[in-house]
Amino acid sequence: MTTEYIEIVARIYAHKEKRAVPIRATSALAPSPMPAFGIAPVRVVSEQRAQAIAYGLMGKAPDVVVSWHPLGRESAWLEPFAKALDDYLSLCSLQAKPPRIWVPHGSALEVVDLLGHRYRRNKKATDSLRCMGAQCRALGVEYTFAGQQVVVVASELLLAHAVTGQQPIEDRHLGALLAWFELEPDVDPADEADRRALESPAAAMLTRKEDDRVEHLRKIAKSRKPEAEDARSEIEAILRRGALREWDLLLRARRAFARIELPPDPELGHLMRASRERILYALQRDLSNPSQPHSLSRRLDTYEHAIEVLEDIEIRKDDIFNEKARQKGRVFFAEVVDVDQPISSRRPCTLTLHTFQDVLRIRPGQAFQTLDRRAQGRVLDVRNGEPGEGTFIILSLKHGVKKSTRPKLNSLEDWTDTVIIDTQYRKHQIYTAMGRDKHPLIYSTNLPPSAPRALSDKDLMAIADVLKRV
Amino acid sequence: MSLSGARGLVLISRNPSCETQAAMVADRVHELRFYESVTGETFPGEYGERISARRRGAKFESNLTQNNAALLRQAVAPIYGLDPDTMVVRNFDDEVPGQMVNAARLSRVRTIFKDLASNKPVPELLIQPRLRLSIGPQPTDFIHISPDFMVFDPVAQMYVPGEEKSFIVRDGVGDPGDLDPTRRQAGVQILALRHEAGRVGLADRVTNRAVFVFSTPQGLAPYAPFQEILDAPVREITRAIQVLNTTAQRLKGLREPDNAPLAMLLDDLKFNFQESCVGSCVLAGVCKKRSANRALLLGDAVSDLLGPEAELSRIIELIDGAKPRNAYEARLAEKLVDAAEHIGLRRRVA
Repeated sequence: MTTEYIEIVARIYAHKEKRAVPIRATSALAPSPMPAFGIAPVRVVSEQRAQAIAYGLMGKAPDVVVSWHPLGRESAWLEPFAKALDDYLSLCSLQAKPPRIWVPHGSALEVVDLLGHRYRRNKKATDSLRCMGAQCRALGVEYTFAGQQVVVVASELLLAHAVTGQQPIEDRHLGALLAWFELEPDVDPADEADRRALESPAAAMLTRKEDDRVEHLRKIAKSRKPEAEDARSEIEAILRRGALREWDLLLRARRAFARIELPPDPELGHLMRASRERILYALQRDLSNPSQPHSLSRRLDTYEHAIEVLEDIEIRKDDIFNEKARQKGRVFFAEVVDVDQPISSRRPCTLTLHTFQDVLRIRPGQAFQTLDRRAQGRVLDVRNGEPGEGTFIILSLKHGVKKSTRPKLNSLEDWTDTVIIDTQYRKHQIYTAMGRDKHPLIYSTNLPPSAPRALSDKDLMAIADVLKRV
Repeated sequence: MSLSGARGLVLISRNPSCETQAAMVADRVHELRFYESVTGETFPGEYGERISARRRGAKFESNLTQNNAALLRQAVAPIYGLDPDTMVVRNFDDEVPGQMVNAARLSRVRTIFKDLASNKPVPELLIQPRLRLSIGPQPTDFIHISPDFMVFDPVAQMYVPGEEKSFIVRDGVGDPGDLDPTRRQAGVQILALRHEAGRVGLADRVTNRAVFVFSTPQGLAPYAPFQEILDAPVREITRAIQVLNTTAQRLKGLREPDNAPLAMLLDDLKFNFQESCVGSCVLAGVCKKRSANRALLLGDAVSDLLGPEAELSRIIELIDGAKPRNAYEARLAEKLVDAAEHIGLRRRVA
């Protein structure tokens, strides 16, 4: 079975049952120690610039800021939002707890991120707006890390946990997506989703009718006519309605997620801690975007590490992810058929595992661990038995050699390749040296003149073999 | 809005297997009227570009081209080693203003190409030029193409088409959703440029590249323009032209003997409902209804895995334990049941 059958079967079932069908066994979102702060913006058509924002602590009535002329240079209308966001994030920093920011969909996050781009280093903006810019940028960057627990994009969160009975492209409309979660008697969610998508096709925008009206009024509002003041008031009222509509969408999406009722993964605390450290550090420092080879490499490594940690947790703790990994040969179910450990509870300890699984992705040198991580080792050899006799994997145990933790003879359990080898400290040293030395091969656009390289007289293959065993 | 020109070719290139869409482009249908003639109802959704979006786009373009295209010159000159202060600009919006100006602008562009072929000096920047692209065997089978601008590359001794879009670029990256249609649009322009250059024997100087000018997050200022090689979009547009021709021929045959209107021929034309249809084709809702109980209703991934014509009701029967009718169904059922068990939609059988 290929892994995609799981989501496809779920989608077909959702279509038949007329409801969203969960595709995870555990929740990807840890409970937050802080109350959630919501941001629901309305953007200008064809760009990500905000013209209204509903915001505030979720569970309370939101505040709304609007600008009747968002393309103008005036930005004082954002000050109350900047203050509220700063108050919330400062409280989180003070208590050393990770913030939890909810936005309805990806378009809303783009708007928030763009506030960062526009105001973070804007010399003409006030200090509070520059601070807001830096905070928004930090939130935008945090969202790019796999498994982060600070920024919740409601539509993405729902789609990560369940599938609907419509096309994935139709799922991008949050209203249409929610039709499959907010079930009403005698209402076909497919029809309801179509209706909602037609009514207001774009995310974080006014409806066509409202938008055309605002466009008409803006001309009057900019003029010196006596009716200009009324026009401004009407634009602001329309924008306020639009922002509250987005806020309502956000609340409904949050409720829909709560109704899925998946148990939180017990190891999400690791992700929460990593997320907290990253965001609190970023909020204190107003970090620049990496642009040099060493800083970009460091960022890419951090991304990769975050992906590995998330993958490890999901495969070990979520049955559905575990099954998907098994289909790819990254998890295998095996029996311990031999244990070679000359001294009890000491290394060396070599296990022979036997599995009948057809699809395996194992090679010598690769690290494997049990799902509870009590035992970890490296593959020394992989031997295929006679046809129908399965595969034998010889594993040198590195951790879990004690008698109490070592897998027992004839015990049966899953092994996975999601062993995390954290080389971040070593890489940090390398990139620091790289940034300091600024070798022209890496930093220069022109190649340096070639120089003969003195090769070691040692056997490079022997060195490679040693390194493989580390 | 009628479905023709570069937009029609771009739509076909995204779904070349859909005869219905190609026929709509071949017939240059007015989309809303065509929807009404097919369904008997007015189109229920939002259609066309919003006034605000149009205004913003126009404002971005006018910012670039005002003052003898000062901003645009500054932006594109470094890419081609030109001096922005000495660049000669021909703005056809100023020279030949108004509607119905294709022939007049095309004529001027052709004169410039003749000068180029004769090694005479040519202007470095052409704003709102017109090109003609042949899309069929008859002399009348052509469309006019309007790049936003064309900039002269002195190394290649040829123009490069350019597109101005008010999309925002952040950290040097544009949104893929914005870039895809823009690249295809540029693909049409490259083919049209090659066609025009070919008239004076310079077709081999035209390479598959275009330059894009997008907006910064700060407002209407242009982000640093970038040139892209567009082999794939050009190939896809070339294929779209072939599909358009084939469909036009087929349509001709279907129409005989009484020149039936396109709406009457829909049942004779294949349709290929896919995810990209949603939001880009006025008939997406109609095709969705026609796809009831078929795998393609649930998106490209389901369609690719099970086959677009697979019946959803039969798939559900197989998941629920129905007896397979053949070896293919038996293999499929095994995978479906396995997947259903893993997500708890079916109890695992020991």
